Amino acid sequence: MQQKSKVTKMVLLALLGVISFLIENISFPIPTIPIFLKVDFSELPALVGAILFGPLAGIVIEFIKNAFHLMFAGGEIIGVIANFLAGSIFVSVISIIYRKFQGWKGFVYGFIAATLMMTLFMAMANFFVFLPLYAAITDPTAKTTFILNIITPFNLIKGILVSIVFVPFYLKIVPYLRSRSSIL
Amino acid sequence: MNSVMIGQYIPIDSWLHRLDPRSKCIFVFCMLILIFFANNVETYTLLLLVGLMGVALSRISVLLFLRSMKLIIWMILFTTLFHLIFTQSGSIVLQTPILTIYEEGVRQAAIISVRFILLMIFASLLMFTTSPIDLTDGLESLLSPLRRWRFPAHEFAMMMSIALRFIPTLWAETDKIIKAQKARGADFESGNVYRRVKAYIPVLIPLMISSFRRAEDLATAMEARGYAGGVGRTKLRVLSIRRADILLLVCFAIVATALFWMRK
Repeated sequence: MQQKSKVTKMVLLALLGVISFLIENISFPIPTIPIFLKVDFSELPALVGAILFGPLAGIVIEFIKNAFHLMFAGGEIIGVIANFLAGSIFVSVISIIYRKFQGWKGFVYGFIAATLMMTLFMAMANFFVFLPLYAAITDPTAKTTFILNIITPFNLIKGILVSIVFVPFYLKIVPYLRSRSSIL
Repeated sequence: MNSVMIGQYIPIDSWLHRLDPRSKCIFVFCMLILIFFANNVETYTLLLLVGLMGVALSRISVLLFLRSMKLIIWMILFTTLFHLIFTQSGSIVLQTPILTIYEEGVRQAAIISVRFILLMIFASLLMFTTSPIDLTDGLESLLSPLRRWRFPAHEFAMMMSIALRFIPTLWAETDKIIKAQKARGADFESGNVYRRVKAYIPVLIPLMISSFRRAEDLATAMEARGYAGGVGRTKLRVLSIRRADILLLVCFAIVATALFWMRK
């Protein structure tokens, strides 16, 4: 029985990764933010996985999504790495906090913390790694302008939008999952 | 969406296609890192030449490589503009009442554009010449030394293979659900971002639920056929390192040495 649930979990994570990849292709540009940063809802399946099986499961789903993006949609590799980092942090923070405080509290605290953590981390990552290395923007004022006007609002909006959409989504899925004891 | 389904892999026969996926992965990974060490005209020219040689060896039409550049065109334009406006050192190249362009800005913009293009060429070379299945096999093999630290390399590759196999299935299913919801009057094309996103929730929920079902079925089927993890499992196709693979890595060593010798 133990073995069976392990294989089921593995297959399920793979399928959630595929769904995540498919959803990623339905993406939306946000007004006032350059077109190469687009919001998509591929975090939703990863969140379901992370809440059911823990942060690592969420990270695996994010990995599958981004690996497929590279294989099928094109090799813009640094953007893919940035997406993987942002998604993994978002998903694992929510998973850790939700598992501490169950129920509504867990969601609210989790989403607030995850959005802030993702925004903060991506601001730092851009300041120290992506901007200087990738775009050769080394001047601190230029970097700060770029991050405050583009990266930070983008991640905040993305976090908030994903959080808003996730709640109705998860509430519809939960009753079904409860009826399937072999997965949980 | 269709272009996504076909993928990047171009199934023809060439020297690059025949190489072992592991050596290609290592080569491309090291090249991507090497690109960040280039810092003058000579080093960038060297890397561009290596990239073009790769393109020639892959026997894939240059047009396809150009098409993949479409993905980064906005990023290149935006960063170029950013550098032209904000980098203010060196002598003045162009002065207009609204904007002054400095030499350093032009230099930075050129460097970045070439860097973006190089990253794209090398990543595309790997994706164009290696099928996703081969990539997954290669990844499993490259990650397997990590098993010593309890990293589940086999389970990881298994998940990737299952996921690959289910892309077309789940895509067909998504398509079916979208059509079913459209027939019931769902509107996916109009409204603001929030509206359009909300329209997709009734697609995602059935998709998720059918995936849970599928996962259970597939797991049962795997168990019934005696799947018990990676221990003792044999492979249909065994990867092997040949002379060409060693040659590729020697090429990388030569390029890297030349680059470190030429850079300032």
